[in-house]
Amino acid sequence: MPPAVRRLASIAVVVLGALAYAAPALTDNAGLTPVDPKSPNAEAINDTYYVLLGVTGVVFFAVEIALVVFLLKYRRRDRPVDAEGPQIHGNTRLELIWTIVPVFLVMIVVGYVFFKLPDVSDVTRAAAEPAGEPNLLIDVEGRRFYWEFRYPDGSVTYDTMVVPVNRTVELNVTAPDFDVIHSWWIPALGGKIDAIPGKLNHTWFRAEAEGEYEGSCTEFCGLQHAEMTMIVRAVPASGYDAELAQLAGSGEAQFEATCAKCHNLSGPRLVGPTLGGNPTLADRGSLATLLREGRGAMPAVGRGWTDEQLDTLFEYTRRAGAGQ
Amino acid sequence: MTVQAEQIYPVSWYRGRFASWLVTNDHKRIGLLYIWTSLVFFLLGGVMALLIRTELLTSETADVVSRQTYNQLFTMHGLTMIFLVIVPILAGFGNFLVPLMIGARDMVFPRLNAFSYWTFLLGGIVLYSSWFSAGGAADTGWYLSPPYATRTGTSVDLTILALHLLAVSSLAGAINFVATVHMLRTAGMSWMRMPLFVWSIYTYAWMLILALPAVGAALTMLLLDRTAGTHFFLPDEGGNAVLYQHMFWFFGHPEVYIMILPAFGIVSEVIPVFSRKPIFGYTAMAFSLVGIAFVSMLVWAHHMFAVGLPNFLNGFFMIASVLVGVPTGVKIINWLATLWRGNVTFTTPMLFALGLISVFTIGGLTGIMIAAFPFDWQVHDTYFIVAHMHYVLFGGSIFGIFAGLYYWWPKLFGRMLGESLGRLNFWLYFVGINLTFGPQHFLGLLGMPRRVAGYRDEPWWETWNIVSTIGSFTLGLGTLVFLVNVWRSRKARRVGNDPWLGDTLEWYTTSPPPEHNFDKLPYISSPRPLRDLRLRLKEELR
Repeated sequence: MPPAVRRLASIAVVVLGALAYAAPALTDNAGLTPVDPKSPNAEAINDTYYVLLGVTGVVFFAVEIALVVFLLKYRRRDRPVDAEGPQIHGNTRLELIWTIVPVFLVMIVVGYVFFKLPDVSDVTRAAAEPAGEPNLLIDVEGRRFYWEFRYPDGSVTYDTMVVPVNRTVELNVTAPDFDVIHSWWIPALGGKIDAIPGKLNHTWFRAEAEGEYEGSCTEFCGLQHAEMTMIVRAVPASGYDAELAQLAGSGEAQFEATCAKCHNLSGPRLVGPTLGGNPTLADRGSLATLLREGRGAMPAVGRGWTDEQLDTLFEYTRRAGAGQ
Repeated sequence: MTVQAEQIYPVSWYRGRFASWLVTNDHKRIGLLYIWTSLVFFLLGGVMALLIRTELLTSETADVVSRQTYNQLFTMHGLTMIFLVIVPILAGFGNFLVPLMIGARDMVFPRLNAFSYWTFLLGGIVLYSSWFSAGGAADTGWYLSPPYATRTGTSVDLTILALHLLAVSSLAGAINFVATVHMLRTAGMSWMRMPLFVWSIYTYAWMLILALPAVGAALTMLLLDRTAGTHFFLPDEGGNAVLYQHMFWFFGHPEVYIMILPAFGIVSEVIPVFSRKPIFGYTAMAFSLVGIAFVSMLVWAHHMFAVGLPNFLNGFFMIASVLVGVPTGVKIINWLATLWRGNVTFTTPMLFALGLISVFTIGGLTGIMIAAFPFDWQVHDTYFIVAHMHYVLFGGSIFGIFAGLYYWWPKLFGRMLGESLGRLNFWLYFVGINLTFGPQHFLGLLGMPRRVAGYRDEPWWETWNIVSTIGSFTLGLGTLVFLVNVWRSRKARRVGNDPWLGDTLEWYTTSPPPEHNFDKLPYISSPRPLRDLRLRLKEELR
């Protein structure tokens, strides 16, 4: 390639490459920033992201621009291959400068993180508002391969957590002793925390707008790890109790979360066999044994469930089984 | 009529064409065995990566490979690339080059050296044999974390055995490197005249010695939990799952620097030669290696920010982690300063070295970002981390390794790799890595977790995954170009001792070097004995 063509081609590549990245950035959030935060802790993390991006961005451009400029300026051109540059072995003062400057840069990062940290992890700060309302405490259990949420009034939901909007929610996150490690993460509602057997972890959020916030289990937990997703549904405080009661009483929702990821009721085999016509669906005793013990590759989905939990599911499977 | 020399002495079996490779104690042959074996595993690991990327082309779960196979693929891809490619190929370079660079006849323990290689090969075979065991290859992720690793039906036991073998191999090799550097430096080769690549292998070896016992203990305890009824890590029997993570990452993080420091060493050899300047700040470059190694022993829990450690511990590990950026930054700036006012020639090894500066910088900077633990809470175990670590390990280690392959190929075989194909190889890799791993940052920020065979179909997720998969096949194409280049180099023109006008002792001997390495050695009065020699010769000719 003649040099002129080569230069044109390389400029074209750079411009097109920049456009490819810039176009989505201008349209909507294509991933250049974290998910739009909808909780104070997520907002604090988002602020941290911009500071991190700023500091590292400056270094990135400094290094890459210096690299490109030096390569253009000091390329060989028509010098002989063995022509030497000036034999500079170093410069103590310069090297001290570029040892100390990075120390300051990383200290900016560290300082900002500690400055923002209370907003992220200190739930008492968040509890200040809305005034008078006690925090809602929800126990979160990661299970293969669903999430179980236990509310203060004793009701239980699976994979979908119902919370009142604008109320601080504290989560006690763990996994049963016989299970494996999972990780709780709703990107719009703050950072993740692992659900570890034998360890009780805490996190919190306050959903600032109504809607459904999706997330995924983020610690590899086995065959259906990808399917282990969860939703936080933020509803107005007025309709909260009804919404929770409706979901907690739904055997179908329970079935969708705990059974349907591996089993179809009818149709092709998923990870496990199709359930339609299976007598276990209508036999509470053997269903209880199966769920509490597991079988073969199937984890003990219902170990530790209360009789009410089992009843809710059985009520549904009995009807669903009969419907086949 | 041809005259054939009469054979006076019978040639022993172990001098045979193949048998001689089986019984060799020669560091150069062992080095080549390491390099070839690692390259074969590199292809296997690469094929697994392409399968993973093909599965992720669409959001649908398990449309190309089954869920189980997918989990095994990403586990084996990680184990292969770490334990069977990057660490051993660097040991291969070290084996071939360290004795040559310090003017030695061989490694200090040649038979231990052979033992290292054959244990490594055995470990690789055992690891791959797990595909054919009853449970199939491990599906746990490369870190084999309990309790999952005790609850899976796959063959974690064989994986542990393989890792034990590989650890023994690395440990023996590392002790050998340290002893060789201490004992066998030739006259005049003082510590501060050692090539930086030797410094990097020396640090690499010390880190292996310090870090491997931790993982050996962790894996042994895990094995006992699985087979002997102990309960170190089993919460239902009173054990502690987080303990394993501390032990594993105490090894796991230094392992990252074990994989990157020798690549830095290679770049520190290549850039001065093709800039026709000495490395800027030799002392700082040598001690920054040691500094990175030291700090890297104190950062392990930054892999565990989501575990729920107290914030003062998170804070400590954040500070330690960002401090790694300081000596690393010194290295990058010193490389740039070496280019400054140089006579820069764009040979293939130089392209890969410059590519490392450009691409590794991205991985280093995202490393600073995720050391800030609140931000890590957001992106931990997402594709952001996948992007970060591939920018470090592909953009750093593999680019460094390819710079090394192209740079030392003439010394290894006496023939050059083709420059045109080499440049093509570089550009495919450079474009490929940015296409593959650049968009993965965005996927992570959007919330896509790692280690999933399918994903939620949200805006942009599939788009970026398609770009990433296209990138991965670009990398695959680059690898094919490299293979063609290797194949064609069999017939390439022979080169002399020093085709690049190198600075260090390995270029003093023939290419490839004779079994005893050197007939005689030049006088060594600086880290660049060959340049000194060239100047003296020029003086004499005048």
